[in-house]
Amino acid sequence: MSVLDVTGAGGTSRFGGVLSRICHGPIEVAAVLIAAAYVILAVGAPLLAPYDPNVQNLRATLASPSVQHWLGTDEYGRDLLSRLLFGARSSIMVGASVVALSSLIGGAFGILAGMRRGIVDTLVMRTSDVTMAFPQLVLALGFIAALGAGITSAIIALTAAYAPIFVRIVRSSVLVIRQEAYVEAARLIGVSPVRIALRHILPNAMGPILVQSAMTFAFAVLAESSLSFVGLGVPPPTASFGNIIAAGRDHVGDAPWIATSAGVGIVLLVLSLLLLADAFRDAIDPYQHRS
Amino acid sequence: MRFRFILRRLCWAAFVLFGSSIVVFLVLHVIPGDPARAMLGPEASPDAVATLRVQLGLDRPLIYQYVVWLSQMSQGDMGRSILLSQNVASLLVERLPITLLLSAYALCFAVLIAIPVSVISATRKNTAADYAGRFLALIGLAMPSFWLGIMLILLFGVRLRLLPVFGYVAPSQDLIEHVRHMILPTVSLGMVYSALLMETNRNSLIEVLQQDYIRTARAGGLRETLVLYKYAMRNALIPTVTVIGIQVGYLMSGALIVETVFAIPGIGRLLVNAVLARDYPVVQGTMLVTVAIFTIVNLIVDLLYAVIDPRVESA
Amino acid sequence: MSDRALLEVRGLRTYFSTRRGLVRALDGVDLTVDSGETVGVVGESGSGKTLTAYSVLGLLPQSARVVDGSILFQGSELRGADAEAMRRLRGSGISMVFQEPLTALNPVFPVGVQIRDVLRAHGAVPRKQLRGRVVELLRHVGIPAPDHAAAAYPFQLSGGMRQRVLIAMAIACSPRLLIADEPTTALDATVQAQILDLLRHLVKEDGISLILITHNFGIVADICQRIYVMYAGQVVEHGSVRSIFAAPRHPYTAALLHCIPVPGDDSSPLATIEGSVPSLVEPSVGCRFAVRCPHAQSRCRAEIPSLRRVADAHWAACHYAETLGLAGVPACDTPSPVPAGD
Repeated sequence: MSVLDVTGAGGTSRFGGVLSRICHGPIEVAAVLIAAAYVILAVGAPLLAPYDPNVQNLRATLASPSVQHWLGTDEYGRDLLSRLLFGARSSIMVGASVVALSSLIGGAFGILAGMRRGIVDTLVMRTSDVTMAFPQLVLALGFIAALGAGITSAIIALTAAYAPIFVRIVRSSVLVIRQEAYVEAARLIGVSPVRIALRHILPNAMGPILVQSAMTFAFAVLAESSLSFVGLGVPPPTASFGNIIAAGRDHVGDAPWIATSAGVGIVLLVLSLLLLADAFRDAIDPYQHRS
Repeated sequence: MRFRFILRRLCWAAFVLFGSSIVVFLVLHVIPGDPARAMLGPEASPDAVATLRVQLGLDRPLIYQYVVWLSQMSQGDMGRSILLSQNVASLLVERLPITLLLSAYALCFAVLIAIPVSVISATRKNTAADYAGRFLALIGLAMPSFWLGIMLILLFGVRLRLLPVFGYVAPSQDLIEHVRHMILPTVSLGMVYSALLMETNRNSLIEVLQQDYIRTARAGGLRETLVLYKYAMRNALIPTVTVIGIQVGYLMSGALIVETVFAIPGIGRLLVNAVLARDYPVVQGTMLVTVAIFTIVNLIVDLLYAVIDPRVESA
Repeated sequence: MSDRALLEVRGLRTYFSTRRGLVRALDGVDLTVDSGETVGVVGESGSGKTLTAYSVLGLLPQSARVVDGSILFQGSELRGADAEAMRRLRGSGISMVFQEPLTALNPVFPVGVQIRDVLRAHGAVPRKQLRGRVVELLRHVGIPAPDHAAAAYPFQLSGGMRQRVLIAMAIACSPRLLIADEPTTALDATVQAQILDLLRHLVKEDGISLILITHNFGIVADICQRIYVMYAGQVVEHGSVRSIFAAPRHPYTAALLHCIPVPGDDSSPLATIEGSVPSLVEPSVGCRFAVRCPHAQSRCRAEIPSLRRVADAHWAACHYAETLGLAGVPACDTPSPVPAGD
């Protein structure tokens, strides 16, 4: 079963089918395109960037946009466009890592809790409840305080903040599906719980997981940019939208394009991810009250 | 019946606080390497590190440390800030009100914008007005609050020179200046929140307006404004209020950042600086206070929910 | 003309615009109610009974519109009337009682508040007397301990009580016409009888005219004087209860009548009408019932029959109304309310 199958509504469709179910209108198409564009830019940044993002040129600091530097330069003379491309790279990297880790870890615990019930369930749920009692950034800051600032710490911190949501989602899917007759049957035949989880439960939980993944990606990008902005995320000189804005903030009077463009970079990415989440939600929910 | 509900929620809140305290406590002990050394910095002498270790009780068993720490915390002794040479507790007392004030303003701002816009959006579903409102809400959601803050600074502070761009003035000192200093931070912080509220309330209202009892009210000849603002809103607000509570966490996370942007001396900025400087007592104290506030707010929202919705007997 | 009808609907056409096209949900409905009458409107789900009521009251959803016809209430034309005039009419001139008592009441307000709001909306009662009037209304509809009931929330009341509350709301401002849409469907048998008694009482004592929408012929036989039988958005037969029960002239009516199970007869299978209501997007050229009609001829499929007089106070829309000789059901023999058709 391809990992791209969307079976939440009871049907199996291949990739093309998935796309057509998501793209109801021009907005969804735009969202998919923008998100894809970001991924391409992020992956291809080393090839696409006109300049090395860390090379300084102190004779051309804070230059306004020109033919040589399409978006101008920052306070160290580094090409802004290149830095933005690498900033996108950071965001996508951190976002994807956080989503992957939190969905895997959260999902695993969710399945564990849902299938085992009893003490294991209580333990997992209480822990995730306590974790969710922290405002997300506060929790992240706690982790970063312990682990020190850096990309890895940021990823770990944000994973801790977002995993509990996946635990909840997966667990409730599990609880619903395991009551189905065919799961009961499989269990009685003696199919191992792991197989049951993977073959029967997971595909049906994919829908909500997908929606939440898109949303978590969006929130992770926002959170990472906030952390980088205050200096606790991606460490300079590595480019990140957040630290570009932080640096640009000091020069917002004479070089407003620095902070502005980086911000637009974040907004477009997050916007497309949120729209994707909505589109996924529409695609998997057969009882949609179409507004 | 209501009493049991309240009791259960209180027990729940207590449990959550207890669990959170364990997490906060562990922050210091998850540090790779030696916490004392981390706090004093790499140049500190081994003696100073050793002294601090004993001072912090780091040489005793973990459970013991936790109990001591917890009892200290609950009595208000949160240690001293390494950085600022001040009691953590007194720092918090100084700064908490400022953050609470900012959050309250942002909440009011968010509600004042979100409710009317959501009503317009829901009643003129699928018209241009609706799409415009939803689009703005979506953009508001996608904007990082710090970036919005900087853009506002650019517009109102730098270009138009209308409003101050950083700092804080207490209301007791000068009310007008206080307000002027708080306008931009309030908007920056409140925007995301209002976007969330707007979408939630709109969806909730649309759902409610399709219900049978709305049709009954109209069939009885009630004025449309009454139908909307009394019959519909009361029901629509139920999920909205719940969301308000859940998303207060957003508000608090956002306050961290907005305070940094506008140099407002609240606990958010305190926390950020403390993390940067590895000032663990402050980190722990602030985290604990933040969680406590969040939990209490959620508790209040739950109780409010019981008041608004008479069907709530036992959750 | 002193003998003017209370409500006169002529040629009502209500269409829905949907993604699949224009749905001709009501296609030429004529209906009259005189003062003091109780009129039944019968048909299966989707026949347009409720929609007719909504069209009269101006409660149509946004996608629906009355495209043709006239609706005269006490001589004034309702179609095209302005919104405020319609609002004033609703609840005080014409009232409606709905099918599902639980969802029809706002769950977060006590029922007394909801009744009071109706009273206030029409300004009939001075403020000080509002509370008293609410209690009086609740007593009038047969709710025990009305002052306690007024403070109760809908979920605290039983189904029958809720229905009475809805009726109280509907008659609060002394309307001339009450439309009851399946008022007993969601209730069990004993309560059904009580509600019907209440309606009968209101008609007699307060002189309210009643339109009773139902798919239950038993109820109709019980309290209505005249019936309209609707199918697929059109009236296919109407007349006095006695005449229609004795000798139905439209195959659909006959089929519906014979769907009523006779108690004690356990041997014969339950009769049903095969097929289902046709799609109203592209309605057929001929008679809309032709597909399901056991007596259909080629003329039926080609030419739509119009309503014509087939007996004293009895009209039917069937090409062969006079000749079919359909069997009737003795009206006084109909047992206690049982569901028909569907």
